[in-house]
Amino acid sequence: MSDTATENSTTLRFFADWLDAGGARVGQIAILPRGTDGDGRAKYRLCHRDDADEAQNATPATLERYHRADDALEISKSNARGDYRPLKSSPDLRRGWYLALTGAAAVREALDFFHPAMIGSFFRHRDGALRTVPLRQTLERQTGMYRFARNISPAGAQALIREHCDSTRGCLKKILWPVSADEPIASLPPEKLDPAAVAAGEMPLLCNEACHLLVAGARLAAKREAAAASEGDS
Amino acid sequence: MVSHPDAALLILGHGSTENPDSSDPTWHHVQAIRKLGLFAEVHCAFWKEEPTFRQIRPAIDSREIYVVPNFISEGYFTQEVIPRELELTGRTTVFSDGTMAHYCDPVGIHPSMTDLLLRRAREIAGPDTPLSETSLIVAGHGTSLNANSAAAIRDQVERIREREPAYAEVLDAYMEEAPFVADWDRLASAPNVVVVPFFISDGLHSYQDIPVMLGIEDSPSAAASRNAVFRQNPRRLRDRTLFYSGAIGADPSMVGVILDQVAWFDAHHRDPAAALS
Ligand code: SF4
Repeated sequence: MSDTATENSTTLRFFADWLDAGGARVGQIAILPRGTDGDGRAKYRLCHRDDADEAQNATPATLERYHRADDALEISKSNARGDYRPLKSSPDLRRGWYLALTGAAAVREALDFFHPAMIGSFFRHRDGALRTVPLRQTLERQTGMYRFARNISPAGAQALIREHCDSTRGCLKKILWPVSADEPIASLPPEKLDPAAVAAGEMPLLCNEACHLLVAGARLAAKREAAAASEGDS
Repeated sequence: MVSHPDAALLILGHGSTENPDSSDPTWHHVQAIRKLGLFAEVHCAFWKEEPTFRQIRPAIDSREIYVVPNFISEGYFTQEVIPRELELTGRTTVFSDGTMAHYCDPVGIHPSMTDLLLRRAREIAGPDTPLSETSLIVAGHGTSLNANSAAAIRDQVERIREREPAYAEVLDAYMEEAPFVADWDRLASAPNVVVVPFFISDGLHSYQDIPVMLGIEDSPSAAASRNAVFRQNPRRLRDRTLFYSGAIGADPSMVGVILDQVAWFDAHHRDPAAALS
């Protein structure tokens, strides 16, 4: 990132302030301050939160060292079993690495690879400017092969959300959208829907609109419902 | 070269929930263009991966955004899905918050793709292969779902014939419609055959499906061996000398085509009256 971009980027200024105020976690990533370099620029180590103790050591013997922000792209691509992670907020970030970076801009860049668009979303959310879209509206908008997703039943939608979005198995994001204006999400615990329900120094990952995986899941569930109904008819 | 130090560049890709490599070229182009420092910020977004088309807006600070679809042709995605998901209403959209987006053409239809295809073909054929004894096949997917992708390839074939008459012949072929890639040895009449897949990334089509159709592989190979598919040039197969390239979209020179699409927009579609105040 060029210096001009640094000065002009309101998101970066917001993020630098958040870091200075003790920001230390985004999703499963721990951000460890490591003093300053010779030019007085803040140094950081990023790692899996479960590796934070080891990453505090001067030379973390059991962790592989990375030093470029874009190394985050490769680290976050697959989980410990080698399975591809199409959803960057799935709770299976692999362990065993740390990423040494200098300056808030580099940390922001790395986090934008680990958790794309999440810093910007949180920034806008804090300003009250993050638009949220109810699930029904997202489904109604779909065309082509995903058009059928809109047929999912109310009960089916609640079950789908529980299955896909659950923080322990599916996704770490806080959900900001309802199913529809008069139908809240009832199938997940309240803290899943509360961006403020995070640890001290943790930036919540925000879901302001259902992702593609949920839309694709809704299509399959709606098809299953339709098949079951037509079997029931015959 | 285009330079918009106050604007953002947003490159859009398809992405995949199954193929981990599908978005690699788009990410690489983003990183390469960031290094050039031509834009205030450079981002990408995907239909099926994060950041998604719907997620990316809050991550962009600039009030002016150039949107370039990293797609091979006009079609369902560029004409329907992208405008809908990004809420674009035309060439230039001014949003209610005063920000604006310029919607550029997809990379695949830019005239400079022709130069890239020619350079790619020349590279894999090597300097010692006489073009007059070489058939060049541009390979595409070609389904009834997207008639435009075949049209984009036929356009390229026409342009290559004009630009480089030295090839014995330049042909188009498709995975799912005639003329079929699988018939490459019957389609091509020259002793040397160069096949360049007109795809955005080295996805399953270019390193698994097409190699099987060409007869390079007996069965779809494991993803891990994909580089081997492209490295073993040339091959003696069906009495011909076959040269097979990786997907054109994975070529680092695609960065130039993306920037060319921005320049094309500025030259042909930019409405001076719609400048940001
Ligand atoms: S819809 Fe949102 S919360 Fe649910 S899985 Fe997708 S990104 Fe996560």
